Formats: sequence, C-alpha cells, structure tokens
Amino acid sequence: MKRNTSHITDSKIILGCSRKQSRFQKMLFIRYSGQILTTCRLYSTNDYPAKDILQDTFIKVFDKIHQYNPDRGPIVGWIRRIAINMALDHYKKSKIRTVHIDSDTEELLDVELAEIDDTVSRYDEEVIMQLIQSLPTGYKTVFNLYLLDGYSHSEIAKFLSISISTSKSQLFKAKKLLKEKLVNHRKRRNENV
Amino acid sequence: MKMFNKTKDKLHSYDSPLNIEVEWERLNAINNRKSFHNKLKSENTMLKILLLFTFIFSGGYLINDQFLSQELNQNEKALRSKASNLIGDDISEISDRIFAPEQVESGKPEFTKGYNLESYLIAKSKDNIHNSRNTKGSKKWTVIKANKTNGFVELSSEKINNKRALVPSNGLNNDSALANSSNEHIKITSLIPLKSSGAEFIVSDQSPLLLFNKMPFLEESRDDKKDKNPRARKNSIKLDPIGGWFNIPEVTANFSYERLLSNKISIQLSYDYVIPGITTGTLVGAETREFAIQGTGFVIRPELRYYLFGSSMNGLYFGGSIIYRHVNFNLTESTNSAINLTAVTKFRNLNAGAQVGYQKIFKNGFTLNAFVGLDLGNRSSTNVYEDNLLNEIETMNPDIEKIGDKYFNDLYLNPDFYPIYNFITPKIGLAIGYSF
Repeated sequence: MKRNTSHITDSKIILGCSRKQSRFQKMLFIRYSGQILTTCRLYSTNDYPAKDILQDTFIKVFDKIHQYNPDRGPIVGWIRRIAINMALDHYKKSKIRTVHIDSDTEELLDVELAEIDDTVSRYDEEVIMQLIQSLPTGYKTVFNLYLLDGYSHSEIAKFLSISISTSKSQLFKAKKLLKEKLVNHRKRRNENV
Repeated sequence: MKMFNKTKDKLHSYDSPLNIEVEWERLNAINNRKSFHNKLKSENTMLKILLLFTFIFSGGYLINDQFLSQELNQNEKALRSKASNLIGDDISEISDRIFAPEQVESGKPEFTKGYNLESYLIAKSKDNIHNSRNTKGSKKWTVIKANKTNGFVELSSEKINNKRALVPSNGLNNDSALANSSNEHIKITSLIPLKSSGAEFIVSDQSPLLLFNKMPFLEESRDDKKDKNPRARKNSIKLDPIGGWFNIPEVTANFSYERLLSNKISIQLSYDYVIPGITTGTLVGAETREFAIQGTGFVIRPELRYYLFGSSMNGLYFGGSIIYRHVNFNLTESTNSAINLTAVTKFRNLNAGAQVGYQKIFKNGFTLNAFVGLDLGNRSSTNVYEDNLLNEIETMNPDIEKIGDKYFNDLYLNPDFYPIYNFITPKIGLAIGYSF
C-alpha cells in the first residue's frame, strides 16, 4: 500500500536526499519527475531522449543536492535548471544547427508574441508539447530558453556558443514557425470537426 | 519584454505522464551501474596508484642498485689501492685483519657486514708455496664461497699427503714472493688475490698462509660474470598480469618472449590472451533485461627493442611494435522481450605502438620489465546483430543513434567508463619473468 507523502515538506525531503536516503530520493522523484519530464520533453525531439535526460538529471540532483541553496528559490526551479543544462549538453553533442538572419526583422514577432501566447495557452498541454517538440532543435532550444525558462539572449548565446544575434534570429524563426504550425493545427482541427 | 507567461505557467506546472515506478527502477539501475563503474574506476585508480608506486620503487631500487654498484666499484679501487700500500709493511701491524687458514677453518672470522671483500694470500716466503707441491703434509685449500656482500670467505681443506697437486694457473704460481721469511717480522712483499669460489691453493702445514681478509675480490667467478654480463642471457620469458587491465577495450593477460638479436637490439613477441570473463547484469527499464557478455580473442604484438643505455635486454630501451587485435564481445540476452539481442562486436584492428621502458635482469635471472607507451590507431568495431528487428528499427529511425549500438554501448562499453577508441591510447605494463 502506497503511503501518502504529500505532507512531507520539501526541506525534509532535501535533507533526506542529502543523506543519500533512498526513500527520500524516491519521494523527490515522485514529486517532481512529471514537471521535469515536461521540461525535458520541450527540449527533445521525442519522449525517448527526454526520459534519458530525466534520468541523468535526477542522478545529478541526488549527487549534487548538497549544493542546493533554498534561498535562491524552490527546489523545482533548481532541478529544472539542471535538466535544462543536461538537455543542452545532450543536444550540444548532436550539434544544434543555427541559421543567422538579420536582426531588424525580429521586432515583427514580438508584437505578435502575446497573441501566440494567448492562442497556445488555450490548448491542451500535450498539444502544446507536440507543437514545440516539432520545432527544429535549434529554434526550439532558443525558444524554450528565452520564452519558457527566462534566459536572456546573452546567456543563451553563452550556453550554445553562438552569437547574440544568432540567438535572436533563432527565436524569430521559432516564433514564425510556431505561428504557422498553429494555423495548420487549427485548420486540421476544423477539418476534423 | 517577454510575453509568454500563460504558456510558460501552464507548462511549468504540467506533470507529463510518467510511469513513476518503472522510471524509478530504471533510474536506480542506471545509478547502480554508474556506482559500479565508479567503483571500478576507483579500483582502477587504486590499481594505477599501486602500479605507479611499484614502478617508482622498482625504478628507485634499480637506480639505487646502479649507484650501489658504482659505490662498490669505488670502494674496490680504494681498497685495492690500500692493499698495495701494505707492501713493505710488517704483517704484525695488521694482525687484527689477518687470519690463518686454521682460524678460518675453525670458525668464520667476523667482518663488517656489507663490506666488499677480497682475500689475499700472504705467504711467509716464496718457498712456502712452491715447495708445498711436493711437501708431505701439505693441504689443499679450496675457496668454497666467496661472498662479496656479507664479507665471508669460506675455506675447506684436505690433506694431500705427498700427492702432487696443481695450483691454479691464474693464482699462486705466478709472482709469489709474498713476504720475507723472517719468523718474527713478516714483511709483505706482494699480495696475491685469492680467487673466487672454486679456486684451490696448496700450502704446507708448517708454513700456513695467512689470509688478509678485508679487500674486495679482484676477479669474479664465472657465475658472477654471467650475472653481470647480460650477453650471456639471450632469452627472456615474461608475464604481465597487470598491464592487461589497462588495455582498451579488452582485459588481458600478457605473455611475452624476448630474444636477443645483437648487443643493443632484441625482438619480443607478445601475446595478450583476452580473459574470457562473463559479465552478467540486469537492466531495468521498460522491460527487465538479463544479459551476459563474454570477451574472447587475442592481441599479438611483435616489438623491436633498442636498448639505448646498457647492454641488450638490460637497461633503458625504446620499442616499436605492431599490434593486431582480434577480439570479440559476445552479448546475449536471456530475456524474452521484443528485442532479444544477440550481438557480436568485433574488433579487428591493426595498430602501431611505441614504448619506453626499463628492463632489469637480476643475477639469478629474475627479470623485471616496466614500461609505458602509446598505442596508435583507431580501434573501430563492427557490431553484428542476429536479431533483424534491430536493423529494421534503425532503418525506420535514421535520425537516432543506432539502437543496437546504443544498447550495447550503454550496457557494457559505457562511454563514461570507456571514453575510448581514440587514436592514441596510453599503455602501461609491469612484467616479471626469467631470462636464460
């Protein structure tokens, strides 16, 4: 019979994890693996590598939990950052392809961003995941880092060893492509209805 | 300004569907495997440290031995010079260092341990030796053991009784005017080195020779010469039980045979036998998989050595080798699953290698060979899967890593553990053996 562990606070779980106690590690995994898998999937082409990244993330989390500083935010944010780093490492190996475009075109999409956000957020999470997952790796990575995980272009440029303008152009492309996919998705849905 | 907060919040709070138990088991399995690899890594590190220490100590010993030999040679020269200074002295002045054969016979005289000795015969007169050949009651003395390191000379004697005996040709029958014939004051007129083991000399009972026993031996026995002259040893067989653990990817035991070609050059044929250990394991994931991996095969390494310092097969050397690797890793799964893998990873590589090492052949033939080197060349492998489904899956998913390869690598040739197949890989070894 499974015990309800929801009453156990994060700080207790973290303490248990830092003592390498397996049951607390499992609690942490049960509590946050779903959310972290979402992040991993956003950076992956499909669920297969996403689960690998999830595994690697938690192995690292259990190993480095003593480095977590609660003053800097909730544990889930820290784990998510590790997951993002793992995902980036994973995809650096597969060489993210980036295409540079002129930076003066980027403003076009910023205006439309709120509109896309509004549209996208109405969809079911799994649909959003599929839409984002279907973006090319380079676009998707910059898109996720910038819009969903809150990194700046300079940080992204550093992470991915690209220029700031390339990061901006990738984002531009990503937004444009996402918009197209949204339109197509809407069309298909209407046809089905 | 970022304006994607609605989607962001929605996704960040979204729990992707996940079979927690399966993923947790999988995580544990990966973690255990990593722990196992870490353990192996740390054991390997310990082994490397141990090897390093062995290497350093062996090197230290050899260097020390070299210096000790030099020191002994210097001592020997000094003592020889000192001995020559004795000529003309009265024997009574050095009586504390003189022993009559009878004294030697009755018990070993005590010498300073570690002193390098030479024994000299000091006769009371030249006649004592020459006449002794036919003198009734003469004794034949034989040097049983002339031990240079502990300072003892053991002698045995037998009565000759009127028999004619020969005195060693390189010994006492030459300039034997050793001392004057005064009974009270024997003046040393010359010193004749007593030969090493086996040397015989004959003296009269009435005029025993005296032994002066704190000098190094001037000449070495035939055995000593063999020990010091590596040219006398032309073959060497060795076993390297350690170096094979550092081979990549196989684990081997190494046997080698070295043959002297010329004073500075030798050739060695080395055979690495792949230890056919079976690795079994379980991978818990979407399906639980039981598997076994067995390595088989061999590596052959002919090597040409050039002994830069020292004589052949003894000293610092450089070696160049050709390496042929014929190794298989057979993986079989015992699980009934969708993909039941039977795979053979074949390594068929021809590489080159370069080594630098130090070989020491000890007096008794015991041989120690420590070396480091580099193996050059790719260690590519081909995987052969008996299950066609793997190939089909790979054909269907050209963008992802080959599943069979990935599976195989993840299970056994873990890239974390074996960051391998580089063009250059280090090689280290410590072989022990016997030279003859």
